[in-house]
Amino acid sequence: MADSSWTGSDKREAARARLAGNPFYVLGLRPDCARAEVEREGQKLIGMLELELSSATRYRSPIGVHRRTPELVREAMAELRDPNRRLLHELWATLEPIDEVAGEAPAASESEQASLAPFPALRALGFGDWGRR
Amino acid sequence: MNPAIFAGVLVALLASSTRGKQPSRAPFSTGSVVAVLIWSILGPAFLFEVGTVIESLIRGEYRTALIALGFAVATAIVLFPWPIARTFLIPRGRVKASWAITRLSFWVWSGDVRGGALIAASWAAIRHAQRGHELDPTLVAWIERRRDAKPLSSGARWQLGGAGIVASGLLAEARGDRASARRLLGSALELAAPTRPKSAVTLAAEWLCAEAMERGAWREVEFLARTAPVRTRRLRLFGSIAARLTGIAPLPGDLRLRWQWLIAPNRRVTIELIRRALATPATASERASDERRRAEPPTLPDAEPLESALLLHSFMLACDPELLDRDDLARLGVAWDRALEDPQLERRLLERGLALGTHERECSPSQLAELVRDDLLALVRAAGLELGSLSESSELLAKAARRLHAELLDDIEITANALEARVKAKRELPAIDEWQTFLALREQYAAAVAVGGLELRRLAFQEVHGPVCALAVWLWNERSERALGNAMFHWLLAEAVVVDDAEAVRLQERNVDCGV
Repeated sequence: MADSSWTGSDKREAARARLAGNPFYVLGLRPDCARAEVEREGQKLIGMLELELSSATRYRSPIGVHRRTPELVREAMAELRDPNRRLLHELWATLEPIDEVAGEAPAASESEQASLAPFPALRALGFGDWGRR
Repeated sequence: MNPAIFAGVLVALLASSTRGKQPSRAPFSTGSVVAVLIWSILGPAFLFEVGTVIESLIRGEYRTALIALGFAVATAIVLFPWPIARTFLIPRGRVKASWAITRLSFWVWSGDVRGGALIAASWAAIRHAQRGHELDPTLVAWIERRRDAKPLSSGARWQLGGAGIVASGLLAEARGDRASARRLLGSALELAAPTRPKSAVTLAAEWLCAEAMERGAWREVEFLARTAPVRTRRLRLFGSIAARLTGIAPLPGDLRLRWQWLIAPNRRVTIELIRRALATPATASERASDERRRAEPPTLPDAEPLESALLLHSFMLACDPELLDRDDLARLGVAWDRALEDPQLERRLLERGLALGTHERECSPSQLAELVRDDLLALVRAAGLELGSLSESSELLAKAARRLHAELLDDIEITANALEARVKAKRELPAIDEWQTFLALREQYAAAVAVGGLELRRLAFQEVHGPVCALAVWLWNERSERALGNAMFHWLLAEAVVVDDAEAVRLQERNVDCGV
């Protein structure tokens, strides 16, 4: 059943998250790597994240740079232990990760951003301010 | 007898008796007559009392001044109930006091004093919650009881009108349910003119504009302010500012903007907005170079079909969906068609599956197609495009369109059938819940239509027409809720015209002609 409560933006975000959270990108490996390599890299990353080493806190995907957490690494390792799931992830991980987002619109100019920025009008019109809560 | 006491008794009697709503056939409402009556009695008395206070103070008769001041304050409460509630009670979150004082507001809320009092109470409830107090459920129930109370007079044509809906919207905001607040306040603007007091509609329109500004949704502000059924100086200013910021024609000039700001209230607060608006170009030609452009989609002439499709796919997911158009999505659909039909893909899956030790047939191109289809649908919906026209270009998109159409129609059918069954069984809900049910169904319908286009709109209308019409007729004929019934008839008529259903148009024209 289609769930009308879920908007297109939510689903798009989920699709983005799926691509960004591909286990191969999370672990920083290529799809043809061996199983042992997955375990070794996963353990290494978890160790580095526990020591809060900055080089391990970020990873790259085809849609940009993301934050890496120990939970994400554990989930990625679990996903790649299942051969059926790994096969599908391999297909999606065919693309090389990138440093910058290719499709992103050029950043709007500072003046444009400032003019279209939100304005606290509810407080100004006497409808109050939830920030005070 | 002191005129203040006499008028106070008169007002209290009127405040307790003005309940049921009848469309006024007179050129001015009962509330206005009462307001004029009160002012003609208490106006001079108030001036006399103020004069006595000043004179007594000059003479040094402080005791007399104090007594006169007491009378002046009591008279001021009767003469200026709304400014007192608006300035002192609502900002302090005094729910019951705001309600009680606004019951005396025959001038501002002349069309619906009871509704005005409910709005004041709900607004005060927002401020009460914002001051860090937990919103007391008994207080909410207290307001709701007053909203749902049956009118004293038996001939009332509607019990829930624009003011009641606005009050419910503000109450939803007080509970922290912003989406319901937005939906309810927006719906109050659609009711027939006699069933929505101007003050309530103004408040709703201004709240909606302010809320959109809080989100930075300036296009929404422009639409709301320029299409609101009321035109206030504040709304005019908001409309012009939003038009200037977003570049939506007609663009107001600098002089017009300055003038509108000068005559609008809250100048000190809105000066920041006017500065922003004046800093943006006033003509379309100056704006042309400001238009946002996105990078060109990547092309890999020598790449495998799967790699090309994936590259395009990741590019589209990374893009701002507002910048995607039909051609982009069609190109992606065609790229995936090629990739999924490529015999290399199946071979690759087989070989790799064997190497990894997967179960046979566990992983096939169809599994990948399912994921891709969901992503494409998400992109189409996020970009606000119609799937109907897109499906001609790609087989995958056509399949996705067929499935989505079926799902959306099933969804609408389930909701509409549930509504029809309840109306048939005469299982009554409070009027505000009946209205919310209609709004939810209409939202579901609008979301489906936005993706499915006219073809789906025709089918969906067949599903909703009967149940919504039955609900509206029930509300109009038997439940004295003509304001709601009439608004539903109006919506059905507009939809019937769009989908070109002659029979439904005839029926709804007759229903709309019944008025309120």
